[in-house]
Amino acid sequence: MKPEDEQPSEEELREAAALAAALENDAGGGAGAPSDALETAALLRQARAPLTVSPAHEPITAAHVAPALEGRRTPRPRRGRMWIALSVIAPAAAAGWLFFAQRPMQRLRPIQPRIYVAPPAPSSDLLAAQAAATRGGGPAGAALARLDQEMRAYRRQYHEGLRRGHGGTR
Amino acid sequence: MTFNDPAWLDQERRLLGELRRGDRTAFSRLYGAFAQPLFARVLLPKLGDRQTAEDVLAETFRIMLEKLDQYDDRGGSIWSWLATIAANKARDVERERARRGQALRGFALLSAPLLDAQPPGPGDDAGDAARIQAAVARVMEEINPRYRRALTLRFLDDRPRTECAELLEVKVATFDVLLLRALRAFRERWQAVTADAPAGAGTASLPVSA
Repeated sequence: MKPEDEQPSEEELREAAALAAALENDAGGGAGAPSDALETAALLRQARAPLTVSPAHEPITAAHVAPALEGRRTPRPRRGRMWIALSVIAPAAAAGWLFFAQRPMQRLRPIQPRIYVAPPAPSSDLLAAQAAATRGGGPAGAALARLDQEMRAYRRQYHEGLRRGHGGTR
Repeated sequence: MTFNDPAWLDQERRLLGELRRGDRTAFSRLYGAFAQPLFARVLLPKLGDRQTAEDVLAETFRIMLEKLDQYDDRGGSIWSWLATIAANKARDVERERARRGQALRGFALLSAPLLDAQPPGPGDDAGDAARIQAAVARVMEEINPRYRRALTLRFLDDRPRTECAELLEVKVATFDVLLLRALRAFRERWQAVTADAPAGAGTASLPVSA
């Protein structure tokens, strides 16, 4: 008996039916069709004609890629330009924000009147102490101690005048 | 001339520069160089269906245009990068077919031993296609005449199976079994014949991973 005449097994019958279904309808069906037979069938089907892409396919591809090609012709902003623009715009924007944000705060803050407080006139004792310290001759430590004492008194008098000038709040 | 020849590489670099600026003529020339090898070496063998292979080919070129700024040629041709894009897209289609339960298959495993180890050249892949067709003819000569007749009627003449069964004077179910056996006999013989493929043939030029 020739191999092609042998009785098929159940498994072979099932595979043959699945293969037939798969070859009849490529879009679906034929589940369980043997892969080895399907691959061989594909080779035979494609080998009957030259394995060449159809000349009519080029315009189809050209239409498919046209938006991408067009996109390349449209100039796009370059990153370098973007950074240069940002380096100018960002500091300007920050300065503007600071300017406008600070003005309302300044308006809310109570305005302090500028008061000029004249320093008190030096007392005769202070002038004498200064003269004694400058002149020398006597014990230097005593002259300097007296000058220090007179300067402290003068500063107290000056600070008292400032307090009075600011309404006694300081 | 292959895609690795310096003369082609100079031309390719110039065309890619023009393509980056959206030049249609440059696109047309690059399509003319790469479409055929992508179709015959990568897409048709992987997908086993011309219409789908052509659809994926168009998508491959679209992706190329979209990602061209990321491409770094490193002194070589864009061929490998394009073939990888095409192979990835073909794999997506295969996954989708599997998800939908479609039985369509490619024949990449069968044709791989016959593909030239060298990268193809611009617009030219006649060598691979001719080798595949010659091997099919040889294997057909070497298998059982009844199997040959079944395969010829069904695949080369593209007749419906009921007509094939009628011409072979068998029931349709018997023809189905005969066809299955014929395909397996063809495959077995094909593997023996392509194992003796000429030196230099192999899968070296095909992208193996994506």
